[in-house]
Amino acid sequence: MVQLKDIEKWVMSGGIRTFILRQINLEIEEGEFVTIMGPSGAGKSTLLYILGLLDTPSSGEYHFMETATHNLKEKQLTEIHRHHIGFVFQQYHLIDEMTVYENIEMPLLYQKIKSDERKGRVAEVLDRFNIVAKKDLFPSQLSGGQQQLVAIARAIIGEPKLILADEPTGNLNSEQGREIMELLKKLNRQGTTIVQVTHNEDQAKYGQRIVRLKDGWME
Amino acid sequence: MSRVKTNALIFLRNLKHSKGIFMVTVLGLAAGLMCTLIVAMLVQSELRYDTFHKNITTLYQVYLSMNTEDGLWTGNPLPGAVAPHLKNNYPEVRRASNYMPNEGKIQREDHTFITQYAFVDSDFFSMFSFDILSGKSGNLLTDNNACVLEEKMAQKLFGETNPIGQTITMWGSKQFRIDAIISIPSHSSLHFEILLPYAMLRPALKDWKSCCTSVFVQLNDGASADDLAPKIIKDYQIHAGVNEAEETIDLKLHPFSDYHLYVPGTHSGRITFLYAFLALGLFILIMGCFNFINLSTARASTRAREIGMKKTMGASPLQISMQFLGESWALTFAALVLALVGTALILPFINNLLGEQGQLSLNWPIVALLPIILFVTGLMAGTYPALILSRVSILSSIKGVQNVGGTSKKGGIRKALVMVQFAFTIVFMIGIYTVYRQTNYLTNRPLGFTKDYILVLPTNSAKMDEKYEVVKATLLSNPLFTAVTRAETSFVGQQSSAPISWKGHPENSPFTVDINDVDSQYAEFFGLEVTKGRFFREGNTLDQNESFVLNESAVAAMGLVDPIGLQIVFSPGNTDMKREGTVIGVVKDYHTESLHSPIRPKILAMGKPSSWYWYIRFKPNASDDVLVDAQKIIQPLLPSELLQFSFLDDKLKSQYSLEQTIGKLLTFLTVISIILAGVGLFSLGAFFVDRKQKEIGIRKTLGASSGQIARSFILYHIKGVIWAFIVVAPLSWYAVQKLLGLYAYQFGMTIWGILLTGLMVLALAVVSIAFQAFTASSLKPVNVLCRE
Repeated sequence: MVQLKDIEKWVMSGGIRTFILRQINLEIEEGEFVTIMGPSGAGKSTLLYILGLLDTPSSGEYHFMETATHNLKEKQLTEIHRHHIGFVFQQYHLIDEMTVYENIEMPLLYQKIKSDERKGRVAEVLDRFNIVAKKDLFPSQLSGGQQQLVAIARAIIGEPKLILADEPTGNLNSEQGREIMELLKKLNRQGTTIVQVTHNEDQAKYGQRIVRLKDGWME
Repeated sequence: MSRVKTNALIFLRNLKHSKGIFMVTVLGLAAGLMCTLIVAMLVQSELRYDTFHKNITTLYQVYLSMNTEDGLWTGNPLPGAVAPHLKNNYPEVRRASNYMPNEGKIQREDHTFITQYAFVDSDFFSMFSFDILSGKSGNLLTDNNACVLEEKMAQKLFGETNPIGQTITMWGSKQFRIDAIISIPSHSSLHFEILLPYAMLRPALKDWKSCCTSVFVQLNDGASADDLAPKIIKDYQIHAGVNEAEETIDLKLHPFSDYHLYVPGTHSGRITFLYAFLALGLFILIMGCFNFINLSTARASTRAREIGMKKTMGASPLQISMQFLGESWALTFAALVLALVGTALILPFINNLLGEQGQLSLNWPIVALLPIILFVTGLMAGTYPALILSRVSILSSIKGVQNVGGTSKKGGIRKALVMVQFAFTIVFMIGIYTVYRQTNYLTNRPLGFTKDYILVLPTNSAKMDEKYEVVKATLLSNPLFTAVTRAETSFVGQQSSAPISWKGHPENSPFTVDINDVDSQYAEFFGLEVTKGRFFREGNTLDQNESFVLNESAVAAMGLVDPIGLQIVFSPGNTDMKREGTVIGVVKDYHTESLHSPIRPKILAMGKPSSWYWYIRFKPNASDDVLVDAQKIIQPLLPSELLQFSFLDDKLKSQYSLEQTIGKLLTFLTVISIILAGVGLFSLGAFFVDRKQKEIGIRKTLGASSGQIARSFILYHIKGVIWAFIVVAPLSWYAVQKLLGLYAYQFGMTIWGILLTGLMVLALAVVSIAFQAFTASSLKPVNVLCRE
């Protein structure tokens, strides 16, 4: 489903190239649960962003679902984001001015889904995640773990093929962290491909495969 | 649909959250919109003038035009013969009327008022569309004892009684029967409270040698002014007997639709001020939008997260733009509502200020304009922020990068634009200061002669002229009156002029001077200083008609060293008007026109003009009714004459009403400009606080105190204002000098005036920035740095 070929990423500062990623070759099949690991500055997040089409590689090819991505126009990128990829971030990035219900509903607004169907889908997700009682609360009224839960709910409501998680448990304590990872595992079992970035060994074990990065190189 | 609802909810909840900044944004824009509305009303009001006349497309004013060495001269007062001449000799001219306005006393029983009246011909009523409210509807003023009274004056004089058929008394001497009541709509250039028949005036005012009336004609429907114009062009010269060798005076037509805004024959006049105000209004609106843009983009990082997340969900940049454009429009709408309320509140005050210069109102053309204003302003203010915000990349919003919404390079442009706002504020304030000082100066500057406590009385007939000595003696026997003199011309308005030649002056270079026939008391009456030789003496036969007194400007212009004894010939080429005489004295310069013009060369003589102005000085402690007292004394001596008294200083002051009005309007605009500049700086501060949050946080962790942060913040922005001042001040100085150069007489503009303005603007800047400085300095490092 995902194919990275000789991907490299560098930044220019004062005429000198600083490499963030070097010669990354990676294939991920549908249904996999992959963990990208490495120390700080290894380039993990950058790799994730490239995977999520949030960033472009400086050289190399990235094929997403059989399609070459380097020539994709804005419109096509938007399409992919709407239908195929969901994101989960360390800081949750929920919209503070929206309630739980509204936050979860939001991706559906960009998919042109009718009002009734939207209501149904949100209700179903709220139920699935056991947060129906909290649907009218604002993010500031929830604990970290609950916020991340909502963020994941938002990420999956569009039924994406791929979920990218950047240190999903980074702001949570071990108890909350475990809950979140269990959830992700469950989702994976139900068919969603998951790629997560973490530097926590325990978290890493939830995945089937570990890809290690050091100084931009795959180990 | 629900996406709109969601975005609306986000917007409203954001509003609740940051009420302060939103309020400032909306207020700033509202101020700008208020100015736009006022300017729109002003323009609309000016364009409305005279449009109620049904015949307006065929109505023309007739005027005189002459190419002089100083440029084009246009004269309005025409001889009384022009109107009938045009009507009778040209088939293109359907109707014609004289229009001679003046001021005088109207009386009925116990009620006395000074009224604005005008002598008109009976065609006037069918040419112009003033409504006849009651009385005779046609053939008005065909009878020399009839008059037409204006509605409000009728109310003042008659109250509830029917005025038709009643009589009123003009000038305390002549009675007129009221044949009709007329009403004048607002926005009429022609103003009068009573109309009298021109036909009743003495013949001297109806021939080609008279002056003083305006002339209006109405062309036949098929006729074109362009066809008629060349036919009439020489008529004045032919009939008024102007010598061919002198400059040609043309008779021309000026469309009445241009009467209000344009000086005949030119593209300037009131229209110039209109353009100026339009430009100003537009500029102020742009400033308001600019502040709006600053404040909107200043909040960019607060919205960044939301934008990034939406993009990960598949929102397109267009959708993001639309959302923020919608927010801008909502805010613009709120600002427009505020502006409307503000304008409605301030309107009576402004109308008061403008007085008779124009009345503004919020009527339907303006209301129809509102949606357009809303749309355009919303677009102007909202497009740039929408574009910027839609370009927020997901990455930068995730990483919490500080340059969301514009790099600090763009910050340089912003800063420059705010400094431009300040520069304009400085310019406005210097402008106000200048106008204020200059107007004060003009109204108070010594004119070179005493102008106070003087009554002016024009003479109407030779009979009246003959009675001068008797009237004078009778007046002086009354303790109220201290001096009497007379002269051919008054101090306000047109002077007589003629070409002269003298020994040593080349034959073929024409030299024109103003000439005024006076009596021997003239210099003493007006306090004119005789610097060489002497003034005219009563009873001296040579002085009668053969002596001249020059003013200093004449001496200088003629290049004379000692003019005493010089022979001068007046109108040497014109056998009728030729005069010869010797110079017997020189007087110090004094003004006979408004201070807009420099003093011209002038020659005084003791001749016999066809009409006089009598000047009567009264005691300073005389009551307000000194006019009536003079009336009572003089009327019995001249029982059948119209006595049209006026006060000299009133006439002089009215020359500057335009400056005063401009001054007031400019004050208003400056206040708005100050508000906008203040908001501008505030908004810039907000922008910078937003941008530099991280830096401030870091500085604090390194040990900077709140005070130091605040101080450096203020200094950083003040430097910009100081630069704005340094750039603008010399330019303004130059512009002011040029502007004042239009006046022959200026107050001395010193550096202090400019510096004072600069200081005030600086104070304003500090106040505006203080709030932001406070915010900046109270930022907690924790809130700002721990985003990763």
